[in-house]
Amino acid sequence: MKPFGAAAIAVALLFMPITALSGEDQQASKAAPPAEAPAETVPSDAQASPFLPGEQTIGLSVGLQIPAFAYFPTYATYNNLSNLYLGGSFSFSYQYFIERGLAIGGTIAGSFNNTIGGNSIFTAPLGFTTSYWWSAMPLEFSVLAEAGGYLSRYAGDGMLGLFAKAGGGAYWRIAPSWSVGLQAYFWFVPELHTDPYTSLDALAGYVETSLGAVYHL
Amino acid sequence: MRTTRRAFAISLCVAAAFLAASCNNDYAVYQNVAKEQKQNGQAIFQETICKNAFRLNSDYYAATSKLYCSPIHLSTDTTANDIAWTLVPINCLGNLSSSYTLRAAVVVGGTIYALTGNDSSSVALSSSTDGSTWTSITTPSPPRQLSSNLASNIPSSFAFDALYSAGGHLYAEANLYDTSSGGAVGTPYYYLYFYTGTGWEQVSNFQNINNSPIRGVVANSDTSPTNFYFASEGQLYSGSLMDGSNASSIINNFSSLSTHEIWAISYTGGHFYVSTPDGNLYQDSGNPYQVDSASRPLTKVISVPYSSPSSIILVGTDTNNVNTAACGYYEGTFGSLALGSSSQDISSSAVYSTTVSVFPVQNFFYDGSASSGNLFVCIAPGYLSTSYYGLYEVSWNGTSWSNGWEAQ
Repeated sequence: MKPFGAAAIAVALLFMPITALSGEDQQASKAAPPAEAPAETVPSDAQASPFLPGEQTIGLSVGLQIPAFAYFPTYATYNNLSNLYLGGSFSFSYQYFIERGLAIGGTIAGSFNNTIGGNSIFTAPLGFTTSYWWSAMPLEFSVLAEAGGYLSRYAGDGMLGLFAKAGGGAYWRIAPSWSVGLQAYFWFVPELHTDPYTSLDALAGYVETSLGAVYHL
Repeated sequence: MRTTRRAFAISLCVAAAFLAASCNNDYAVYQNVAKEQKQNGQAIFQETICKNAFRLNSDYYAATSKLYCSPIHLSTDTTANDIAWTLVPINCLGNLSSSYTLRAAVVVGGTIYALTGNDSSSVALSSSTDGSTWTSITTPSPPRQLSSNLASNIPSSFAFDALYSAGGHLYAEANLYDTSSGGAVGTPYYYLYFYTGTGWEQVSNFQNINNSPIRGVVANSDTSPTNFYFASEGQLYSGSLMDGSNASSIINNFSSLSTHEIWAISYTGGHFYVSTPDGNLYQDSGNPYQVDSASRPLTKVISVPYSSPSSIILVGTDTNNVNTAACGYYEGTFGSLALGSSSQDISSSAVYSTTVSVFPVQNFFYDGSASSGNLFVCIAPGYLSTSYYGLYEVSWNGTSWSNGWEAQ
């Protein structure tokens, strides 16, 4: 319900490679004199990174957050969350390839939806991800699953809970280091309460459709 | 490195504590979202403070920076949002005008008294028995006993700051600032007057309030009062006469009240209440008089019909420098009050959450009986969202309250 430890590790994971990369870059720049850089071109299928172990990516996204449903187990009823307007989402992610095409990492994200009553609900999940990537240059594809926790605020009240996300994306390799594309994910946001408030439990779902940019380190 | 780790661990602990504190296990986010209702109030109440509401004849009146009126209607009336609240022109400084600033408005018996001005130095008091024809009322001269202490630029008539209706009588608060001893602001002096029908007299025996703002005047009945209560920030007096001539201090009747600041007083449901900014609510029952504690500053109290028990009280909350959290109202019986998001909400929790819960309550007004009536809550909705209004209504049908606060 309150994955503080997980949150700490995820934050550390998110920023550790950036620091490591920065160090590597500095060493590389010291070791080799500056040379005339070749003109950058989008690699062909054969030249493209086949997402080998050790490679890393950083992803950014911004998009729409579509309320899908809420299920109330105590009453066995569904609600289509029509009281929530179409909202927005954003995310920052890091992935590290442990096998060819298979990456693990972490994502920190946020979403907000206004309500018909003038409130807004903000959800900020933080989770570990596992994803599989493949390419058909200049296109790249991924499927991803995420598990973690979230913090939400609504009408001045807060909630912590578990979180899961699944989906994928299709990207266009516009430069050797950059890909941009479209993503679609389903967010599973359970709102679980402990005794004596278990009757307040709810299972909510959203669909995120977003524009994503991936930087290949 | 060790220091860095320690700092990181401390930061994590602080973050964890913050997150844990922000988690409300008893609050249902998605159930409340699913119950929300769109509010269709009028633009005149959007993001506008409503100070109070009252009834005269067959109209309701609401006091913001203007005075508005609307025919009596239920919150459940399907045409409620079509019943326009219309601006009431008032005789302000000699002319019937709509371009005034309303400082205060109360109803006493069958007469509305409105305190208006078009700037800070020009204030007028008018009365009306029908809401359309207004008569100017002369305000009193400054008190003689202070004239020698005050600066020479004393206005020729008093600038009233607030009006109170109690026991069928009109009371007015006035103040002057004595700058003769230096300082840009000077020393404030507060006075409480009552209207005789032809002139003004100071409430006597209400002592030691010179530097203490007046918090209110209430009586135990609108028609045949036997007890009047006069409160300033630090003094509380009571007497059987409306002019205060036999009033005496009763502040020591309330346990530890003398060490607290008085925020508001109310008389409702047969009891006198004193609320304080530190969250205490005192009731004049038991020996010693009882106190109920809340976590927020408390404002007005009102007793309203309910199914079981037959009546409950609502206690408005306010914000201050100590507590800037969401406001709203407490609800229940004295001694077992719960903040409005509880299951005993007078209206459904979700509608409360999206209307009154976030903002300071200025006042309540109930028009009706145990078998039917309309309840208004006046709030200060701030400017966070145009979805919030200064005035909401809910109706009672004798057995239950209508489902949710309706913006006016």
